[in-house]
Amino acid sequence: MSGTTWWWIGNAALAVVVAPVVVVLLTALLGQVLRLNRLADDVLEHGVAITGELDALPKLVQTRELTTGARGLVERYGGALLRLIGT
Amino acid sequence: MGIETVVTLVLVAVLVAVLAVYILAIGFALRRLSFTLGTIVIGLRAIAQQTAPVGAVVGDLIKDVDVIEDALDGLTAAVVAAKKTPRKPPPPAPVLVAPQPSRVRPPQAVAWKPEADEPEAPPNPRTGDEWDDVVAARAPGGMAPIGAVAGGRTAAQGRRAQARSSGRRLRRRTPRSAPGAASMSDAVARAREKVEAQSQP
Repeated sequence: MSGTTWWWIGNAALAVVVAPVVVVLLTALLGQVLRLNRLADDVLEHGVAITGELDALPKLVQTRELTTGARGLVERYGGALLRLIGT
Repeated sequence: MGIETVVTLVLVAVLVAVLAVYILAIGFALRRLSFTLGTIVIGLRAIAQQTAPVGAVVGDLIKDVDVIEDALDGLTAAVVAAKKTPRKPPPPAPVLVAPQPSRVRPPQAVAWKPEADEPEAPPNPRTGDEWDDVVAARAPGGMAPIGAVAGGRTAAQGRRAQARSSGRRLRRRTPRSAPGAASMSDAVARAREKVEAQSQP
């Protein structure tokens, strides 16, 4: 076979084998990247939902103050009740 | 330049174009992914900063609740112990001080006779019925110590006997002790009854 024939065979291989393989590989890579994007969007959406649930956290401070006050009140109530029942 | 060279150049150009398109698409997707991941990281840092004091606050809450629980447990145990132990006897009546002998006449027992128009002695909130007995024992004109009226019936005893015989309830004219003490003892009795009623299953 002459050199021209080998050239044509190379062109055919480039068009039939190399180009589809490159396209398939790049498509798979792009698909994985887009999948990562969707997962990241999902994580961000649920993270924002969690942030909304954390709005009640500052109320813990008020709860601590209330329990501290309730502790003193219970002690005073118990002492007064013990004096009432005479123990 | 032959035809095969042109075909090769065209094929390579198409392949490069496809590669460029895919690389650009992947680049844009990665840029968007980077932005999303950066947002997630910022959100996670904010959450971590916002939830940092939760442990300390919850620890304080647990301590307070433990103290309250211990206090209520002790109170319950004290109430149960007070329920099991017999009640304390009522405080003794105030000691009645008899009048000085120098001020009173010799002992003079007076027998009580039920009379319809018996004058009532003025109430004395300081001592109560016992003092009324003494005052009633003075009739008809002298004051006698407590022991002197033991042989006979005083006016108050007569009123009680008459009330028992007639079936009517004698009205207390004066408090047995000081008004504050009486109300306090009543309040203690009510509280004790309430506690016992609540502690029963």
